[in-house]
Amino acid sequence: MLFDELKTVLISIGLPEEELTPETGREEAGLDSLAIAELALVLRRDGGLAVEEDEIHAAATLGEVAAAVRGGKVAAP
Amino acid sequence: MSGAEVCVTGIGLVTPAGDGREAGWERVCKGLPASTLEREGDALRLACRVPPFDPGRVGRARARKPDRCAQLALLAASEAVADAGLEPGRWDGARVAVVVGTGSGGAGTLEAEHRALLERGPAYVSPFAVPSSLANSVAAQLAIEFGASGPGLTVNTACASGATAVGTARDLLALDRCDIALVGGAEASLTPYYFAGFSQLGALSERFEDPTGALRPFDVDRDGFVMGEGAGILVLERPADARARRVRVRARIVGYGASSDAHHVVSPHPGGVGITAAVRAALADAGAGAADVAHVNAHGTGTRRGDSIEAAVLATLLPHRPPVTSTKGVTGHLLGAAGAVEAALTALTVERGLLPPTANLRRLGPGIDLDVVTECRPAAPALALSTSVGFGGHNAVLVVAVP
Repeated sequence: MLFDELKTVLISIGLPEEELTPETGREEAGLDSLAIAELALVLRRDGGLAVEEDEIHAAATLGEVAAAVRGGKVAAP
Repeated sequence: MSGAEVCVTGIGLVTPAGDGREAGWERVCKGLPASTLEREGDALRLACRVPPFDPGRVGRARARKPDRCAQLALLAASEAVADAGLEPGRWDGARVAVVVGTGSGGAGTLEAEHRALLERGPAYVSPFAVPSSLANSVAAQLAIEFGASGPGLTVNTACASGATAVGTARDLLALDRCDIALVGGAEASLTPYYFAGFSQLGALSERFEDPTGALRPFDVDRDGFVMGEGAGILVLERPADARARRVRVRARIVGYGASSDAHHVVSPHPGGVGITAAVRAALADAGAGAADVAHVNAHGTGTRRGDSIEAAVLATLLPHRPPVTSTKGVTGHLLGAAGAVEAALTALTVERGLLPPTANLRRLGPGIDLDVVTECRPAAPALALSTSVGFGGHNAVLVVAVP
């Protein structure tokens, strides 16, 4: 997933747009465990992507989150 | 407890009458009903909605997924806190309480997520479904937003919730549980479930041919209420604290009375025993007599039975016939928010010396012997009542006085 695509999803789940750069820390951006669960749900529901929440938890920055999502598999319908 | 009074130092309103305190007050005084006709598939329905607002105004709280009910409360609370001249970053949060009355809490979230559960399965239910739909989510969102780490309470007495919340916050201040109370009511249940449920009860007006004339408090042709959404938040402080801050006091809450009919799940007691007891308790609490009441902001939802019973109680208890208003003719019935919004409107009434009219009242119904205000009327009520009644037989009455 490209960072800009991730950014669009993050904005849609209510994260503040002005703080979303690839270098922004995951927690600093507000991507806590509840928000990660929400992100995984939206990616699964709207993008058909199955992502491992543990991998997103392991990401330190939003750039790393995008990379983790990029490795996501297409979810079974 | 009797004689414990608190000052209203801030008011915020987000209602169908207007986005903001002054916009709402202006429309209420003009007597312009906010009710509109909506189509849902083949069905018609009447509703009073808050004017559209930019979701960006909810600010960082958006990331916490507040239900619309909490969003309306956040907007109203921001206005109330600013009105009181308070800066949340600079107060002692541990001494700030939040008390919210709501009937259905996050009903919109609950219904949407329940649809997702049924249509797509449990894996598609948002992790925010529970924290955003619980009734306490409104008080929680306000506490987080304003750093109010004192007591946080959610009260539910159905359509009396907002008034019960104000009375409860008054008690917390009197007991020194807090120094500042953010208190009010919020409701956003213009949802399929509540439209259907209230309709099946026969509580809603079906005057689809005349949407703005549908909710007619005390009128001979009244046929039920129109559901509305909204929030009203007040900032309450003890008089000594308000004086020490040299802040403008809009009004005082000098009495509170509550009761239960203990009679029926929806019908008020035909003899009005519960509302009578609540009015008497509120006046005793204020150390006032019936003759001191110069104005009543009535519950007056426009239902046939409810208005008749309330009118009979007021006529019996207040034989000097003080002017009575039901602002629901303009705002619609804001359910759990109604009591707080009306407490705020009553505070503005005594502050500004203007009695708002009762919209859509053309001819009083039989047996209603009240001086119901039909045109905005200059007056200077030193003491006013705000009455609220809720399903289940809950009654809450506030006594509002000039500063």
